[in-house]
Amino acid sequence: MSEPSSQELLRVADVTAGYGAGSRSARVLRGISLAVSPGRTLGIVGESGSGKSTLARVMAGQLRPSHGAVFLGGRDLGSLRRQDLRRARRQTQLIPQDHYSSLNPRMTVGETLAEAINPRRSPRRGDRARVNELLETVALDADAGRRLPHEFSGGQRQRIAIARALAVQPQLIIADEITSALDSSMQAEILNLLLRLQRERDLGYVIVTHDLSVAQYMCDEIAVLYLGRIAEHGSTRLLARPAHPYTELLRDSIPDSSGRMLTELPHTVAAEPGDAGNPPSGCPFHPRCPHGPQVVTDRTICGTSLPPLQLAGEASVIYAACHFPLSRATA
Amino acid sequence: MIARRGRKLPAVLIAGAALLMVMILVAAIAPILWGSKAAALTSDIRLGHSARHLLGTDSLGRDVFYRTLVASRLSMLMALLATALAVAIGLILGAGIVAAGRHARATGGRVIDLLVSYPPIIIALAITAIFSPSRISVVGAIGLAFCPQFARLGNTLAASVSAKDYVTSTRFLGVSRVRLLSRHILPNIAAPILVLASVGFATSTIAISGLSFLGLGVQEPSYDWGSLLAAGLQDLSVNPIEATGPAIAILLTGLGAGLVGDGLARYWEPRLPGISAARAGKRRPRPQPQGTGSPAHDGDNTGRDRTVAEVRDLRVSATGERGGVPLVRGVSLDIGAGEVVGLVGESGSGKSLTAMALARLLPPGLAWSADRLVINGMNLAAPGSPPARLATEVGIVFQDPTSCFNPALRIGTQLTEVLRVHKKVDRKTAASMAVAGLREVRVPAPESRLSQYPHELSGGMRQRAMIAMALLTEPALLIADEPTTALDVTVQADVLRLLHRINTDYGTAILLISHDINVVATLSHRVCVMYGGRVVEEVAVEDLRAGRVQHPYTKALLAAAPDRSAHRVTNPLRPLPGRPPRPGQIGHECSFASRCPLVMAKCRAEAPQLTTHGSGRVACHAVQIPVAVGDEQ
Amino acid sequence: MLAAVVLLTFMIVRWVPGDPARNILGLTAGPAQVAQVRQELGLTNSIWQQFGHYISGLARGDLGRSFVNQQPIAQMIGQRLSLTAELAISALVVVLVIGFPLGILAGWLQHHGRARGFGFGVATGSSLAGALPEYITGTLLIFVFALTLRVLPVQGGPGFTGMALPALAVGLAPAAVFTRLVRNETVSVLSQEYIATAMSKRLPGIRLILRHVLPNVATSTLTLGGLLLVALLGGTVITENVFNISGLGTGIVQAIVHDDYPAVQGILLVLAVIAVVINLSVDITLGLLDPRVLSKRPS
Repeated sequence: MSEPSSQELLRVADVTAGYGAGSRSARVLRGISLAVSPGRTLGIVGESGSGKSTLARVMAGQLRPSHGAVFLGGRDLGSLRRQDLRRARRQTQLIPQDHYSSLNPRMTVGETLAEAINPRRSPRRGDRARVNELLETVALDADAGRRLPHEFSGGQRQRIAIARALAVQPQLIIADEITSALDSSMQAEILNLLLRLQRERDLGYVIVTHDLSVAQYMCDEIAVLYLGRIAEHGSTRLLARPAHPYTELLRDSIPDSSGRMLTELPHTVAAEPGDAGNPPSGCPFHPRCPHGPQVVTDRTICGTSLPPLQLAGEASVIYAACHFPLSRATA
Repeated sequence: MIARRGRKLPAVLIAGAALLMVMILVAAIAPILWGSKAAALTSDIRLGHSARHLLGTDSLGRDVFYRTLVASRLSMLMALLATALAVAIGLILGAGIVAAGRHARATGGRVIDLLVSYPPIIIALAITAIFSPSRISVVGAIGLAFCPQFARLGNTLAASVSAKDYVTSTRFLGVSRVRLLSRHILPNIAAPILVLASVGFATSTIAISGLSFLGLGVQEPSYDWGSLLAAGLQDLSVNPIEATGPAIAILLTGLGAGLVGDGLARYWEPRLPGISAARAGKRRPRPQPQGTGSPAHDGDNTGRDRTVAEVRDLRVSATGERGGVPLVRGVSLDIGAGEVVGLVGESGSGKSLTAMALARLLPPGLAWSADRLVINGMNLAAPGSPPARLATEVGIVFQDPTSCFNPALRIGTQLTEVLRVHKKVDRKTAASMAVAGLREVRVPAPESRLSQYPHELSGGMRQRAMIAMALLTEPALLIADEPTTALDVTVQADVLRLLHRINTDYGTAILLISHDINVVATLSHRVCVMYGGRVVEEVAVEDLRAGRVQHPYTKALLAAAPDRSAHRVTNPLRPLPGRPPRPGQIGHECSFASRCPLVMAKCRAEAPQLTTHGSGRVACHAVQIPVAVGDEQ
Repeated sequence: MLAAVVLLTFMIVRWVPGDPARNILGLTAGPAQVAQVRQELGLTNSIWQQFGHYISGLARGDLGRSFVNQQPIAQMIGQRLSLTAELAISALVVVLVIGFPLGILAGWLQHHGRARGFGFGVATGSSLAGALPEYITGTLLIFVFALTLRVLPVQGGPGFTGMALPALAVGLAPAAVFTRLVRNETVSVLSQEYIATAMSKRLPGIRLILRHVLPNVATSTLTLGGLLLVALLGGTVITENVFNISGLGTGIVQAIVHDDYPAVQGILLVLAVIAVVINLSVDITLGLLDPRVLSKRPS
């Protein structure tokens, strides 16, 4: 990939990350390279075990990768001193998945927002105007600032979390599964709000989700993760014509009203996804792949050699890590 | 700050606080008022109860009653100091460790664990051994002895709080450590600490009195309840009443503080589900059949081939302090043999309760009634417990595969239980049936699963095992309550395919509940949409897929759910304004009125009934076009 | 952990102000005599020498000799330990026998909202009983059973009659607390989803409780039961003094009063070791009982 440019908000280069140390370490992400520019939205799509939440934390500067580099605004996080690191972290805000535990239950919303605006000192009177401005941005009343988090509904808390992220005035927002606990109406509200803010402020977004429909709705560019590696990466159009069999499986698993989803797939697909810390040899998807060695027996290379991420699409620029990417005929 | 608005203070809290207030008052004024009386030596040695000496006299002729009262000040003061010492040191150490670096956390935690496991009284004795017994040493001894408990509590609480997202994100904002501790960690652990502190006060009182009792606490000429009690014990065979004074004083203080602690705990912590129901419910959940339908015709087989389930006017309400809050308000539906009926609605719409009521599985604390509730020929609306046949003819699949299996029992035991208990199948046959069932649902290596525990299976496998368990008795109806919500997308698709196969291969009827209209539309033959405790529309799935729906809510649901046709610029999602109503807020009006784009005056006055409309049913005034032209608003 | 305990115990006793030699000889002894006794007791050696001496003695099982009566400490502890152990274990039996059945029953009734009078009675009763310190309970029991009814002895001792009152005195309050604990755990287990699953199977009530509820209640309460045993150990200290039982409790009190440092040290050490051993056993037992702890496979 090319050198990081200062135009980009974020770039992760060949990042490997995990938890634990020594013999008890578990590598959850391997070899991830992605970038986000202002005004653009990158979607990270994957199921549980794909490592997407870990990637979100690495991107936010909260987790240090064991290999590879994270560049925020063109500057390598690993090389920064504490003060610069703190400043760099403020450029990127992570909105975590759990909206219950993302707000201090004993601080009023106003205090929480004021603290986010100015972390180094206690809130002052002048902050109130700014707090109200923030609340208005996320369509909440000014008197919400005086209330405690438990007095709000789930969707409202989610909006408060967004306000908090905005308070820091970041350039990049990483949203980790922020709508999965909400019903469809609330979800639609939040997504539309995010789109509006992006248009107004030229923000960059990273949307981490398992829901392909949400990814399609929000994103310009999508990276599909499987067991810690990128399976496919390219513009959102890849969802309509996937090159990687896993993306195809994901797409075909979405229940849409047509009931098409109910068609039986080859028995291999019933196999469980593996463990990211101990992935299968070769291509991590090969034990489940409906086009892989379980079904087409002479494709033994899938079980022995890890496919590199290479250009696979024909019309659009799509990268897929697959020895036998799906062509237009089979998509 | 910590108070919850509108909640009453528990009675125990008030009682305990009152008791303590009295004791504190006595402690404050007794030495002033009765000091001389308490010290007066008389020649009435070891007398029992009399008018002049309420609690008798001791070996030096002193009045025990007054001595007890005067001793309150010393006893309670020492206990207060000891508790304060324990809380302050323990809390700061325990919570402070968490805010410090990683190494401090590990070693600090170990040290605390070590100290906590040592009985406090022995630590206190050790400290008393170092510094000769006196008032001060006993306060210090007890205070330090209880430090580890508070340190541990402070540590655990602070650790759990600092693992929360809001602390992590605040830390990354660059907030100072002091502020982190004082504004974020400490306020959130204050409640349990205060509860333990009040219990600690009771324990300190008792412990200090205990040490004095042993002669290792307060020394002559000072005296506290413990030393009074020791003197009483010596004279126990001669003049037993001497011991009662101090004993009662110690008890009352301990009780008062304990009640305060208990009361605080109840006030702050969320109630356990059983408690509120038990305390508030006056009626036990019992069905009240009304009118239509012949009573208790168990074994009526005539309807069996056509409808598996018949429900008429099902109502469920909460028996809470606010009086019967209706949660399900008159639901009627039918499920035909081999039919898949989907029940869709937002959270709070009453769909899960409807399903649970059908299966007679409502938790305690809810009352229900139905005009008619017949499943596979069993009249479930009859009073009394449902027939055991219900367990074998209706299978249930719950939402969360993690928590629906008993973690202490093996899978095999749980799977075969119904067969063995109700159908008297022997162990070997049941086991082989279970293995066959697991194989049917495509759980790999089914034989080995029987001896495994639930946590050894992945989420998808557990859900499939749940389905297998429900199917083992070949039920006529399967009730699946949000069976795929907790699962990954690909696993969800698998489970839906499985359910589809069960329906087509075995003809099992399915009641599928979900908040996701796409999930429901994929699998069902017919879909019922619920809102605010009522069914607002019933539609064939072909009509749903084509968008031929009538009720404004159903239309809005379809418009809000993102699917392939949605596009952020050209075809944005259209969310519903407002929020779903709380169960207590709905009156006689249409529950959707406040959010409905077609709302009319009539909607706010009267709830619409479910009436036939085309091939389905709708409950909406705007849609139900009146037949006569003259009927207009 | 044990090493820390040993070191701590040693240091604590050495910090005591005062002069043991003088305590033994009395105030009238001359300085030369005091110095000689100090030398005999080894107090003139450096602190490290004393510690080394102590450790080597420990290795041999020799805990030194009492300052007061020159008897070997190890022997004295051995004699007293059996009585203390008997008392502690009897008290534990009291706690379990009262706590489990009563607690589960109360929990079941509370969850189903039945027999509220009984539930209230248990709650109040356990609050009251839980606030009773063991020395008050002991005094009361002595008064009722020993002095008034004369069915049991005033002085405690080995055997059923000797241990009955002391065990009750030590165990009553913890039993009350344990009952409340078991009740809360039972209510919590009963509201779990897997109980709803079990109820959907329409099993007979007994089977439900024994097969589904009890195992889950047991694992969480037994941990606390083990810790309770350690706390009971503390309770025995005072109760032994009430009933005049020659256990470690009376031993340590006498030792403190007489400034008998080796005895204090020895008893503290033994008690610490017992506490550590019990905690270890609880951890191991919990690992055996709870299948989740055993298998490290991810769920």
